[in-house]
Amino acid sequence: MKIERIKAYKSCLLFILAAIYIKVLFFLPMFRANLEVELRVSDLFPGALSSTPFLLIIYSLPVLTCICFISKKKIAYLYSAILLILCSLILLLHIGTYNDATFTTSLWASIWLLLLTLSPMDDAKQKLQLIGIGQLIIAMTFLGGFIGKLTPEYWSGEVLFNAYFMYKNNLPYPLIRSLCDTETIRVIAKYFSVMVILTELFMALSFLLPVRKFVPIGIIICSGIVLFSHIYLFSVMGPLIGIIVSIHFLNKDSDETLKDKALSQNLPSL
Amino acid sequence: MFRNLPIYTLLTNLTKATCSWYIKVSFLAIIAICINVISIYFSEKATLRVMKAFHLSSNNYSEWALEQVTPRMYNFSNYSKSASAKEQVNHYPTRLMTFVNSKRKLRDQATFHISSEYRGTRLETIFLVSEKPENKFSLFKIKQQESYENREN
Repeated sequence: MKIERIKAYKSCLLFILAAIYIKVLFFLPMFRANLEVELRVSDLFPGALSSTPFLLIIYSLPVLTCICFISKKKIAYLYSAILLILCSLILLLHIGTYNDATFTTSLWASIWLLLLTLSPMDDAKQKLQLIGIGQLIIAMTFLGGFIGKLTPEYWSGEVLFNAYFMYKNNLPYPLIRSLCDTETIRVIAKYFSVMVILTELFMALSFLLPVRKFVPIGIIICSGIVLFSHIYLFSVMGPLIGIIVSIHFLNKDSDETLKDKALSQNLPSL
Repeated sequence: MFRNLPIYTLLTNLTKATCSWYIKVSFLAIIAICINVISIYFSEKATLRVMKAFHLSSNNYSEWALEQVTPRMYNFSNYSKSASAKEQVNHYPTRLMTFVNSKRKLRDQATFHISSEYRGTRLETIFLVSEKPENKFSLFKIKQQESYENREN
């Protein structure tokens, strides 16, 4: 594989792995508690998908994909992407981890890794098609958040007031609570909520941005979401940042290919 | 300007032989998911289908699993209600059943109430909490109520 494609793959993989394992200290006590007492909900989940030992195995398997950081063989990249898709899917469908959006974004970023490995990139057009899919995955994820918030409870700020401003213990929320009275916090929550909705709308339309603007804006917004929520939200945003960073490497490669073509066309024949 | 965008190249090459089938399938899957996402804004039936998935009470596991691959970060206004308090939950309201501390709290109560609301459509579910046989913590849906207000689209 070409060096730029390898760079794109490895950077996205790094973000997916960091996203899956950043919450390891959060997940482990949860898994331990599930081992002590088995959880069942109206018999919805089939046997293996409510088994905690099975969950522990699946959660540890993505570590194997680290082989991509030392191997240059395409087969290693291919199997790693397939392994990540399967693990993310199982974790998304398991009773112990279904509620974590980490595995929704890691699933889609892993699908992107598979496309990155499989897609032919003989010319700039094929690369642009792949970049287009990457941008659409980011847009789709934010569209999901945007549509679900188009309800009076979000427009009024009520949801974020109750879930964030009056409850969260990470900065800036305790500071806001100590400085403002409840009514002022309600007003701040309302404007913050509207800002969140509009940001998600902007990202849902981000596929209309040229790549050079899409990359920095996407990284700033995804990182900003983590900063204004909790470091653990990196587990959800990390795979998306991974896709954006790999789009940057692919686009850089496309730009250079186009420049080379333009140069060779202008050179006098020898 | 639009011609320089990757989406333009993607759309104009979709029917050409140079566009691989992986790209075509991925594009169609993304479009299908976007339609599924947008449907909750217009259809109460679609909203209730997603709320039921949030309440782990879809008609069957495959229907629930299909909803899981759709990104729905922080959708709806969700509440969980226990004997001690009513709490706003910003994502799956059922997650309180799988979180360590809240699960321990749940073990001391007989029922677990959750509710979701979106543009006047509301779903409320009550689970019976049972710890029998020993070391098996089970929640059974005992009551589910839907209510609507007219949507002004």
